[in-house]
Amino acid sequence: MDWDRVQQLFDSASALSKPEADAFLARECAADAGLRTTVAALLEEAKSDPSAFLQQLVETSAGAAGESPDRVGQQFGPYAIERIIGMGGMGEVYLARRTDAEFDHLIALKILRPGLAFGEMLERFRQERQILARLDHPNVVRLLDGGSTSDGLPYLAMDYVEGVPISEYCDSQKLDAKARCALMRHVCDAVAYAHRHLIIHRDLKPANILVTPAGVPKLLDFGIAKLLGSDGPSGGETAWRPLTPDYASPEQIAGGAITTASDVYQLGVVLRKLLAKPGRIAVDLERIVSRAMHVEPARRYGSAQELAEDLQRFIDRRPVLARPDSVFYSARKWIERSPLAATAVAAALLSAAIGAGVSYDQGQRAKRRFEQVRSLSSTFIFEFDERIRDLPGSLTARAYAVDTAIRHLDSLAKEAGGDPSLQTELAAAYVTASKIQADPSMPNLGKPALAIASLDKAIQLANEVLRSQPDHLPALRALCAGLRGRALMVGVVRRQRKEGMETYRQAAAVADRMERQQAALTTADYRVISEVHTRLADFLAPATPAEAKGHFEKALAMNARALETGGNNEDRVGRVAPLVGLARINRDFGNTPEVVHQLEAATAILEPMLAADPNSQRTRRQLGLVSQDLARALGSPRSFHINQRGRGGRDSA
Amino acid sequence: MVAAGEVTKLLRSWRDGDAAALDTLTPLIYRELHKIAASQMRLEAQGHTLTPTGLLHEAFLKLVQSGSQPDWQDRKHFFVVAAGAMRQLLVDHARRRGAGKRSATPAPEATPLAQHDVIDLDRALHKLAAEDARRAQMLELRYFGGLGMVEIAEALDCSAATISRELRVTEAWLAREIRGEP
Repeated sequence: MDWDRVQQLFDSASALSKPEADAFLARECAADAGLRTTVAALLEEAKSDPSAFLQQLVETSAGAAGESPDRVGQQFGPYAIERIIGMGGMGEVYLARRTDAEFDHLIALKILRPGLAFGEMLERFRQERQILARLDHPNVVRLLDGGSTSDGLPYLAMDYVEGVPISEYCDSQKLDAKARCALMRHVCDAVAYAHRHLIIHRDLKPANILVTPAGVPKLLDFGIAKLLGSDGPSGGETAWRPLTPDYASPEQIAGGAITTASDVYQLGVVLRKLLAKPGRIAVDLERIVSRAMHVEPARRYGSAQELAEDLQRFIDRRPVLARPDSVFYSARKWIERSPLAATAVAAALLSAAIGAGVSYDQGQRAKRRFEQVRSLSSTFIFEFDERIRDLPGSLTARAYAVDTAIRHLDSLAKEAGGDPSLQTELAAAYVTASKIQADPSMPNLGKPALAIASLDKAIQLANEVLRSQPDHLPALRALCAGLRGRALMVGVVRRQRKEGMETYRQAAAVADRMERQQAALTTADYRVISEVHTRLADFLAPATPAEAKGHFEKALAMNARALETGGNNEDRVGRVAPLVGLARINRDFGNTPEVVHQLEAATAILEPMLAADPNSQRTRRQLGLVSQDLARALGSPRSFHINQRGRGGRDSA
Repeated sequence: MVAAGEVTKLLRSWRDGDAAALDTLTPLIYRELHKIAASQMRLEAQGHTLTPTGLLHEAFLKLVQSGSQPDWQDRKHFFVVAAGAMRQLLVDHARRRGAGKRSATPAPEATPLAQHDVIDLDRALHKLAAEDARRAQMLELRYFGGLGMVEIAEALDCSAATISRELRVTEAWLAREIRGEP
């Protein structure tokens, strides 16, 4: 309803007599009969003193306001309320005890304030609960359950955390700036974790970040702002939060799209608040805060993870990435303005990044170079590429950047003999370059021949290190990555099956050598090892299924390790290929129960992923294939609809 | 019990842009309102009538007036925050009482007034807020904060004449909306 227009018509008409007013409205609203009826009805209503009616309505309700809201002792589902621990804008929070299970533990029960359309909210809550419940991170308070109270109010059950808001904790423990950053680093990690699960917090503020007596930060209320249908303080519920939306990002205030960048902004606000206390704030921290809180979402940190990493850099006294106007930003802007100048930009940037150290004296040189290569391999090439790859006309710049980088790597490689760490870093840098050149899983330059050349250099460098130090883990990692990349180029991109299979076999052998150093392996290592075995088994399966079976099983075992050590969704998806591979082998051997078991396990991974991200073509396709296999295994002639459960299919077969 | 001057201090931090102060303030006022309401309930039997305005003024006396030397701005801000807390208090209680009752069919002898309650008012205000947040706040201040037109005008930073004009048409709309008339 256009209130300004209604007000204007109402004001003019109310000064007129009834027939005059009718004529006036008929004239003014000739094109809008609805508006005419509305204003006429309002004029009529205004004569009957609506104010008194409203006043009376409020006063009648006030008579009941003295009733006790006491819920102590009440039971909702399996939860018995013990005492109230908080009251706030969103509702009341109670300490409750779960009484039905064999384990008897305390939880926090949040009874949500009835807001607009909470029936609709409950429905949404049911849909999203599954997704929220999947958040399982040491720094995120787990959502356990939800339902509605006997009087119809929705409640949420979550882990009970004994803690105080992060700002209070920092002050009471008199933490210095570095310790505060370390806490925030964990907070950022948790937010990044949630973002990987496609959940945005939307309401990050100190009150939602508790710190336990042991000093562990715990994030509360993930995704709840969305459940409530309110995008933070600026949402529809203006009555409860009238003004001063301090933690809301500019786009939230403006009613724009809420993205992960909004969470990054709010993390910046919290950080600024925490750092306001310990005295003068370091220049680098100021930069980190300003970058996180940049007005343009695109100029903030690309992710909560990047913010976390920059905080870690500050803690480690390394230079932070946040700069007033970063070189990447300028480059991007320049390239956007004139794609033809791209080559020149790339040249200028690279000489700035690499050329600076050339005149260093002998003693400093190796160390300095090492640092350069490290940044070249781990951040510069990739980051530069990532930031320009989707720009129109950037192809020349990307190719030039990689060529230049490789020329530098080549010249460094010549001098690297006898320096295992430098050689290893160089090998890793070549692998990174090869990905930009031709990795089919990302926008690449389409140059498999150049990629293979880079990978061969990586393999050679890593092998040199391993000749003198056979257990050098970073070199084993680089070698495995190099062989895996080469196998992909040869076997998948160029479809030379035999050579591809042989190279995967070599990669798997290196993976086995890595596996012997169990104690030092990371989640990423297990992920790579698992993938290498899966790929090898895929190649082996048609001719030598028995051998393939061993590698698929190995892949599953290594994937389980990845998951145990903090793996993510990527690792969960990683189980699908070996499961399907094993199922197909079992099918050929007539081992039906195994087939069904394995395909159902794959379905159980894919279905919730599709539910979480219904637009993922990849997941949809995979699930379709798995369902077809399952249908075939069960002897059903038709293929399944992809959202039909495998179990249901068996019953009907 | 809240320390003397605490509420005034929070009101001033909020005025100075500290959003967290509001998070402390609202439940604090909410609790106080509830406490006063509970104690006055006992008096109601003796012919004492509970009104939102009475509740708010009592809360203001206890939380602000007693502790410090409040200026007119403190008073204004207190009523802006407290109107929200009051609205919530009344709606929460109406929901608690009515959750069972409302699902039943209304008794035929019910008066027209009894068929509608503060929950309907709250819902209508939410709808209004989505269209014009300032008008919704104006009505909240009037009905839940008990403010007069001059005070509302002051809180919303406009003239009393504007408020007077806007109230007439918006109240008419609200009454119709609550009764469910299109």
